[in-house]
Amino acid sequence: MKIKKTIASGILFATVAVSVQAEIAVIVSRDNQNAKINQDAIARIFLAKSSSFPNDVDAVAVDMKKDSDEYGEFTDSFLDKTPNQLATYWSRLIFTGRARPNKEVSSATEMKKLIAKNSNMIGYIDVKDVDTSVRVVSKK
Amino acid sequence: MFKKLSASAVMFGLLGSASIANAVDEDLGIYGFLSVGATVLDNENENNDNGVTLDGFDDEAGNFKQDTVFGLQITKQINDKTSATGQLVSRGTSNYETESAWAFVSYAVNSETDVRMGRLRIPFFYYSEFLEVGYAYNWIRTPSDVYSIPFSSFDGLDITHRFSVGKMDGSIQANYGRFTETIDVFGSDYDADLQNILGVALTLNHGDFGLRLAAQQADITFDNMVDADVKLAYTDLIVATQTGDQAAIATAQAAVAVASEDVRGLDVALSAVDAYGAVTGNTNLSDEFDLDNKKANFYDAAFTYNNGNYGLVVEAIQIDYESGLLLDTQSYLVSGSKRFGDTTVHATYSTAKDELDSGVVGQGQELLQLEGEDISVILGARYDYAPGTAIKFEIENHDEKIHNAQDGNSAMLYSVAVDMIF
Repeated sequence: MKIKKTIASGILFATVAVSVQAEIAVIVSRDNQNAKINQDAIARIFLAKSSSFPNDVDAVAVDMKKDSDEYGEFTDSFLDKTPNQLATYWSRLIFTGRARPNKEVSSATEMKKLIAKNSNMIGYIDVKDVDTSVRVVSKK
Repeated sequence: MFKKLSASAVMFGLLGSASIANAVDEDLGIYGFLSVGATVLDNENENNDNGVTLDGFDDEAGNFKQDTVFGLQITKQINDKTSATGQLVSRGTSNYETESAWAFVSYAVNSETDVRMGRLRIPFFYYSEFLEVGYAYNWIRTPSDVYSIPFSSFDGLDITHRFSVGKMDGSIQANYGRFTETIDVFGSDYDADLQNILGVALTLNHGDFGLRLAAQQADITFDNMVDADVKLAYTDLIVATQTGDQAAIATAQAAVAVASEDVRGLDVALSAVDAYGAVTGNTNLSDEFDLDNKKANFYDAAFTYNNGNYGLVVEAIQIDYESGLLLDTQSYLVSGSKRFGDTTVHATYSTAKDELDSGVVGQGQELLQLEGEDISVILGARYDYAPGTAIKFEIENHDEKIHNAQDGNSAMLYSVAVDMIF
């Protein structure tokens, strides 16, 4: 199952080595009041189905660039969808004016900087990039 | 893929600082979609002038224009609660004339409720709101037996309220507005005025399952009219038919053909009904057939399932017209799909059947020979060869069981298309 998905994303993203998938950490600002956030709540925020955290505070999802390893791994682990399926999903929302695409950053450093100073934002990075500037609310 | 102009400009610039990107970006989004395709129609009965016309394809030479659609959308966030969206669409079917498919201001009453005003899509069908974004579905184009309404936009407002109950997400959308435009029906143009377009759509999603129920109504007015010459020719034909004089029938039929030559289809039909009413003593019959403020009711139920590998869509439609000129129609489609990695194969069965009214209106409809029954089978594959780009192949068999109240023909349609979003 995992191996099959890795091969699939390997075709999409030439940079993905056929190796064990990296673990992804979903991160928020240290000021964010949510201790842990379950996968369902994370998926709802990233799929624009919900615009608030479980504690009802406004939430803004931040994606890694769509050709990054992290994006492929996050969508597989947390959203249970392939990048292609997500592109179709978003096309239905965007071209009906229902939602705008998530904000996007191009590196873990940029992600951490942005998340650290915005308590309403939620993002994700490779667990090996986690440091004390942000707080992990879920890992997979 | 969905690049924000200023954002990317800043990010790839020398600074690359998120805080600066924040200040400029965010507010303006530019998105586009493009479909190109090639199609060959193969009619079963090659010597028949009345061969099948399918999705606008009517000859057997390769067609490269019909499926071409280009759309460009700009969304500007004005403040926290308000945004403006414009979507321009240019279609090969209308000679690449550009049209505003969407042009609206959206206001977020709260995080669950949006009000939109301007030019919007009438949410008739499950796929109505993204009908032209080929990338958003597996087919090259939505099945024409079901997706057969000749207009899709309206000017007015809608309100959408989202809710969730346990693990179920839902939304309810209500719309009200009007549509005035020249539209093409059976190959002729009519000035159409659809007033009091009023509808509601309920959508429920639970895990892999989805359900959508929708109803729309409108008061339809067309600029169609009785043509005196056509009416006279039909009067002769009806009288000749009643007397059974074969020579007179032949003469009258020829006269009808001549008189109808440059008259629009719905005008010919109305004139024929008017003649029939006059001859049979139902002088008000044409009032039942005109399109002067006549009600139309539309009902749609759709069920969807998609677990990421297997998908199913079932959609059923009932359309009732108050005017006898447009026949009530029932249609449905069943479509299944299976994904193999980046390739999705799909199969669809769709059918549409017209129904005659009862009584004298039904007799008039019978005279007009408008009745049709269609069955289509579509087999296709979609290959997502890069994020945002899909290549599609399709074979469609379209069988006109009944066409103009007579046995129809069948045809095969072979299509290939590329759909992109950017």
